[in-house]
Amino acid sequence: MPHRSLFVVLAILAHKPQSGLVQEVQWPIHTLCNMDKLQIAYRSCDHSQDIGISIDLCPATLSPLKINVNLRVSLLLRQSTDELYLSAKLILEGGVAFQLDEPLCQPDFPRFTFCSRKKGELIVFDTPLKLDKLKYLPEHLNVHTVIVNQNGYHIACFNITIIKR
Amino acid sequence: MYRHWTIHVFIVLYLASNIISFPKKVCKLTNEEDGYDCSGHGLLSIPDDLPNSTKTLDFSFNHLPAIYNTTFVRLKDLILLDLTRCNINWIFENVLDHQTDLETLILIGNQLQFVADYAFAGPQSLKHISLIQTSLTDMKFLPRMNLNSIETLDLGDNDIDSLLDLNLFNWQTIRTLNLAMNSIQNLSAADMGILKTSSLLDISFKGNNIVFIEPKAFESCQFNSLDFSDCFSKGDISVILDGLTGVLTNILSLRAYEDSPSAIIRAESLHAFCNITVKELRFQLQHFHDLTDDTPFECLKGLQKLDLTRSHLNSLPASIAKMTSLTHLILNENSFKDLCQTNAASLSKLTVLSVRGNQLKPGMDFKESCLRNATKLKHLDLSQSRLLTGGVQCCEVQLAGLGQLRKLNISYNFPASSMKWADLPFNATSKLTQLDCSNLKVTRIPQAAAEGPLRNLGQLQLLNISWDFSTLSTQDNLLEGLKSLEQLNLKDSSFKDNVVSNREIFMHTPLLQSLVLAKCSIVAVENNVFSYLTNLKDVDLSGNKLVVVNMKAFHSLNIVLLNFARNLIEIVDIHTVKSFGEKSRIDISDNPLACNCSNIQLIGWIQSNANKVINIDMTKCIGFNERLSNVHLKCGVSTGMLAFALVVMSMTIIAIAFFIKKKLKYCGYQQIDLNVVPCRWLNE
Repeated sequence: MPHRSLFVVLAILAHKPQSGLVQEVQWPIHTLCNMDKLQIAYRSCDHSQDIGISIDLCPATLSPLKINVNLRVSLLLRQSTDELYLSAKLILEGGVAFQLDEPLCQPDFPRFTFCSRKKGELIVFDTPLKLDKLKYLPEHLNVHTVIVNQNGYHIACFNITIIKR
Repeated sequence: MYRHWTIHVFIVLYLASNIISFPKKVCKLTNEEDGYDCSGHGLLSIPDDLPNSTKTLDFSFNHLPAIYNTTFVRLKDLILLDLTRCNINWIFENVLDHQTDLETLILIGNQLQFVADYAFAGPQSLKHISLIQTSLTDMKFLPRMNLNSIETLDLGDNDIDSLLDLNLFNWQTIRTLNLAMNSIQNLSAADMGILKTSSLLDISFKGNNIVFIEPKAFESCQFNSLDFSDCFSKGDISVILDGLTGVLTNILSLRAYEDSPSAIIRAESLHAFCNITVKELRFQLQHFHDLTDDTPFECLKGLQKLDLTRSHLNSLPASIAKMTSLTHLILNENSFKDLCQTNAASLSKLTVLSVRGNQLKPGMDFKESCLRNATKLKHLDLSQSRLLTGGVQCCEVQLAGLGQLRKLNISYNFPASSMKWADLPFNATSKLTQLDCSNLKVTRIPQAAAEGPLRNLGQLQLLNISWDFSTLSTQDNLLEGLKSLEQLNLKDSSFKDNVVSNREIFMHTPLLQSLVLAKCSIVAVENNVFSYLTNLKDVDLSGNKLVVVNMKAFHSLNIVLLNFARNLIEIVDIHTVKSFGEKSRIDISDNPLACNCSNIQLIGWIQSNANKVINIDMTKCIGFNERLSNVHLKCGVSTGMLAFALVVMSMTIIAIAFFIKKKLKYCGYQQIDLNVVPCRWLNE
């Protein structure tokens, strides 16, 4: 019996989490659209916080060539946005299909109202968005997006998954 | 029984230790003197282990719903206190009573419910206060006391709709007032009157929906910068321009943004500038529709800098010449069919012209010399504009007359056909000190290839010809005549057989300090190939296919920064890095470095020379994700191991002897059963 207790103690000790190892935070998957023909979901890959993304209208079918929706993104800034650069990878099942690199805020050309904002500010980015040629979407598409600032700090990181049925 | 209790107590203590968290050091030193960063830990109070001598404290993203005069009592040397997003609702009296040296207080993102009048009493010279997104509706909400030294008052993104109480502040000291993204609609002469007592103020009304400015409200006001970007309530900029009559400012920003409505600016609106004195005007992302020769550009005759980035322009009239003081003209991301349509040469004082990222497809014509009269031009940027030379040789004709040009950027131009370089493409601009031809497709006309195309640029200090310019081994003369060159970027170029072997290439550039050979698919660098470069201080060989770090390629390793990141280096010969000077640095991160005994000398060198290794966190072993700086290998037989082996052997012998002795004793008690084989064997 004492040996069994000793075993329990050793087992607990073996499972003691090592200091310095931080468990990776896994933010929940959020649904943007959950229609019969189209499902869109996203998940934050930012280690410090989740991100809010919403669209006001989901297309019921994939047949219309164009649909105008309103996109809203809410994000808390952990650093300032004097400069911002977006990098988005479109990932199909075979690998990266397309990469987009785009400057959003430059010192001499701040393109958006969220440029030159300070640490701690809440950004609410509200913009009309045109969804185009939905029926040409691949059946399964992932978009990995990272936005970095002038220090290379990840201001935002999220993955969007689009599933067409 | 006793043993059971011991074990149970141990288990309870262990579990308790996991529930009760013992105090840990959560605050990290920052680069500032006596600076600490305690941000993002959800702290409910100032940690006990934070030194009393702390001068700058980042306490953002913690939890302090109420601040009392005891909250920071210990930190008497504070100069900067950052309380961003600490859920602060209540700030009671005298909270900064002991912080006499405090200069900067940041309260961004706290929903303030109450701030006592004496809240900020204490500091002798509180200069900067940031109250962005603090739910302020009225400036009266701010404490009355001790804001007499304020230089920066940041009230952005609140709900302030009235400027009646601007007179609460001391305008002799204020340098920056940020009122961006509030609910201000009307600006009255009475409100703005107080601003006349300040000078060189930076003031921002960005993002307010301005519907009315009382005539002459800004008359006689003098600002350094005035920002009315994204303030155009009905897409009409004249509300703002008419209201600014009589103002004097160095910078006036009237920008729109991609996520905000832009205004349509009509030519007649520019009449308002006859009554505005401004040196720098920013019109980015606005819409200009009818700029003709009749446009009253004479009203902008004092203007020195004009930024019309993405202002939906396809031409500018020759009458822009009436802007007689203009030195800087920024026309990026517009839609000019021909560079000549900018009429930039009519500006007699122009020194800087930027027509970067022209939007029109298939491109912008760059065939003739339409800048001939811009004789004072020093800086010309035509990058990313799909320059079309139409088969004409470049660029002597196109740049004719620009003898004073110092900086030229024609990078990232992808026309349908490559740019043809004549014998001396930059013959007209021989005083160039910086030339960027990166990501440019160039062919030299065959009869001109014998001599270096840049040989007349004896004053050139910086040259960027990265991306597949040509195979450098066939261009021995590419750098000919560049005797002043200090920085050379050859990223993405190609070398014959992927080996840097021709040292004669660099013979012409004895003053070169910085050389970029990144992503050139280089597999080897031969000995002495950089021996002519006696001033070399920075070499970037990252992203190649190097297996060996060859230090014999360099003239000297005394003061040099070597970047070998992202290559195929497994083992580094220690003798090469040992010859490094005190001020030299090396980056071998993201290589498949072996962490075995064949590399032990490198591992030891890195551990004792961490200051010479750049990106040491990314300098890791292949196979297992461990930093070389943390690896501990045991190679060969050490004294310690020998001692350990002796101890183990001794203990084994003792154990065997003990076992034999015990067995003999046991057999003594078992005399009646001598059939037990071991005993029989022992007794034999």
